[in-house]
Amino acid sequence: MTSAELLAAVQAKFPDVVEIPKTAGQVRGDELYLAVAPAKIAEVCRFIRLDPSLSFDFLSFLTSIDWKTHFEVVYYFVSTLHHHKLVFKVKVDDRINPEIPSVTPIWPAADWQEREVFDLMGIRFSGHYNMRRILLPDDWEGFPLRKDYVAKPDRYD
Amino acid sequence: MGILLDKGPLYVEHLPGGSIFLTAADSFINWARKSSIWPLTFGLACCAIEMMASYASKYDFDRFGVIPRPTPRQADLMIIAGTVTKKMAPRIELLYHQMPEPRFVISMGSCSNSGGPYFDAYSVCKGVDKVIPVDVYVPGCPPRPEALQQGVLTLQRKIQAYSMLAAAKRKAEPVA
Repeated sequence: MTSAELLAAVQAKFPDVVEIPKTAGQVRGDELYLAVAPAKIAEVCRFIRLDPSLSFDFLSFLTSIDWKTHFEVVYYFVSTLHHHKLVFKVKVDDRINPEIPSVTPIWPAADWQEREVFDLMGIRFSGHYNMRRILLPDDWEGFPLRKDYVAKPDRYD
Repeated sequence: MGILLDKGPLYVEHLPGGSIFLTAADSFINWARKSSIWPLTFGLACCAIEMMASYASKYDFDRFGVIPRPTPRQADLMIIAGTVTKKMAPRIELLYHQMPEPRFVISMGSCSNSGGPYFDAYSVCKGVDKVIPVDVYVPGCPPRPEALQQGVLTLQRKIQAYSMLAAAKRKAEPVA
């Protein structure tokens, strides 16, 4: 499927999903980038995973960005069946208690990546069965990849 | 190191020929210790690759009696080969205390010496000497196997210079 066909297929089911156009001078792949509302993400993901013509069976990666005003969670999908790619960007406005639905039930590969995002950026994934730190010590305070994180010296510094 | 070694040399010194006996015993015990330094099989990052190369046939640590042991209970030496993260530091401390005395530590590479390239990182311990005492520092990023060999030979010289009597006297001094 081409990007235009992918966009049409997703928008037929979810009209409020919009394309993020490539801006001038931006270095970016040719994949289709879509902006999805946080509340809708699990629903849209289930659709693109199960729909036979889309069949995104592989979650390539899941990551997050701190834009200072808001967070952004990025999903990168590949279909090993149809060889097409798709990128989802989810804007999370709440900086105090950011939370979006988990996609772990759809792609088990999301399990550790969602935990990593929670560990370093502090975005909770509701519906995840084991939402706790994965890399840092369990008693760590704060989320180090946030732009406003200030490292507190401890006995190891 | 036990009541015999803590107090023994202080009494033996006053016997006729005592200090000669202690010196001879020291040189024999130190020779035995330095000729069979058994390090803990333990690597943290890329330095561990160089450490493995040192154990392997080309550099052949076996000829110094350096044989990696899989448990801290059988190890004399801990080679801190790699980045000590804050999550790993308490584990290193635990492993160190599980080793029987006399125990030695070689800090291998910039990361375990001082934090190295990760000095500004939030998650890295700024040198393993914040956690456990270090006998020999081996600089490099990572050090070549020759550098680690030099570190082991330096440790052997340090072990050969050990004196039971001096150690017992140090321990007997009241703590200020």
